[in-house]
Amino acid sequence: MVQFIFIIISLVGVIWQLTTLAEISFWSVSPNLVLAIVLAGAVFIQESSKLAWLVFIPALWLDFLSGYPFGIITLGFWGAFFLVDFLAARWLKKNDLPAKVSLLLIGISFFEISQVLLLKLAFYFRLVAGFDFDSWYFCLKLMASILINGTLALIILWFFNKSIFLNNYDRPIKLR
Amino acid sequence: MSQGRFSKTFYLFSVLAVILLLIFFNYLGWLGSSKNFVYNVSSPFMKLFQAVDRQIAGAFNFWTELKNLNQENKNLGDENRRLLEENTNLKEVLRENELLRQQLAIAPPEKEQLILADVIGYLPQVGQYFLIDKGSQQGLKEGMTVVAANNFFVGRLVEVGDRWAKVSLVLDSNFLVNVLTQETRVRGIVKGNHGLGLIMEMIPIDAQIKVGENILTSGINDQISGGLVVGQISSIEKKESEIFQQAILQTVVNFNKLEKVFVIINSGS
Repeated sequence: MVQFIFIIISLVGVIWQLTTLAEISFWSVSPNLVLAIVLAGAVFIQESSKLAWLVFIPALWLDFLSGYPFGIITLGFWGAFFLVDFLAARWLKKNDLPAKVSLLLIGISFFEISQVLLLKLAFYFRLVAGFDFDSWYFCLKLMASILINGTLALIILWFFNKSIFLNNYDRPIKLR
Repeated sequence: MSQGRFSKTFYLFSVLAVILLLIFFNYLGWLGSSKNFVYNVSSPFMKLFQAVDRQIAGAFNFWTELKNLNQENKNLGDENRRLLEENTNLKEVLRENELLRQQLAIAPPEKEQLILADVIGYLPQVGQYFLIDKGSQQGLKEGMTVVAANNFFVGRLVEVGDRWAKVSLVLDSNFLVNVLTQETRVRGIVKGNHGLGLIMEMIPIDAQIKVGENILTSGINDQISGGLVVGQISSIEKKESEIFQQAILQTVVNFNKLEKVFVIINSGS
């Protein structure tokens, strides 16, 4: 049941991402709800949980509907998810706010950088028509993305922590 | 290696393997039906969300724009008078053109066939893309030109499903289109400025272009119909040490508020 509800919520998130959130932009950066869900999930979900694959459903869904070659977004989410999970397990404790903020910051930065690198790779394979990279603009975009998506991920994380359903249902996901 | 770490590593690589496999299947074109399924499931909800958004935004905009109404009314009145004069002149030119065609026995230009489509999704995070609700069942093909009302250039179809298509917008910084200025007939290339507007590049340093001039698609080499309005020059950046100058363009289309677009299925030019 919890899987079904998570899938429905994440799909509604993807649709909301493609409609309402796409029209909101700060410094030409729109909030990336799916990235926020994936990173919040990486911080929240117990590391040994077999339910972690659920976070890839919205990523794949978004990838199908996005414009760039299929796989770029999902690979970015995959890398960010496992990097955050890896760091959380080894160097950082997930149960305090500075640690959570640091994890989200690293996850968002990794995602944005991975998108540029994967796009460059796609350009080499002639999967995209052009590759235009401006380091100054990228730094500005990265800062805006960290601010906007980090705040969004913290809100989602707070929502996950407060969710009685996620925390009580058969203990599939354990609150830290 | 502990059991937990092994299981986690195994899990990490199995997810990666699945993603890479899906990328390979997509490369072979085997994911077409999955994409159609995803689109068919999402489409009704996206239309619903769009409709609700527009209702809310419409009500909100009404109150925020109320105070500017007088000034806007005056501006529109001025523009209306200017356009009326321009329209009268153009009608004369059109009549003259028809007469000349008759005298020279030249057939009139073929009319373009357009298909109306609803914009149902927008993804500005990676590139600049629209989703529209028409696809190959309506005769759409990759590479077709997409315009807004009044022949304003919007972009090009990059992927077409059964009943959906993705439009790469001119705002995308990887999208290049050959253009020329309307009055001075100077050629160049327009590309997106990272979602912040448009830049016209490759303009020779000695070319005399003017602020306020319209920029049109040239229809050369890039399969995009000619004569479509891309934007208007808002400023010119020129350095004597360089061989090209560039112009910053103001877009003529508000891409965030586009609800309907037209796909040109046969170019008349």
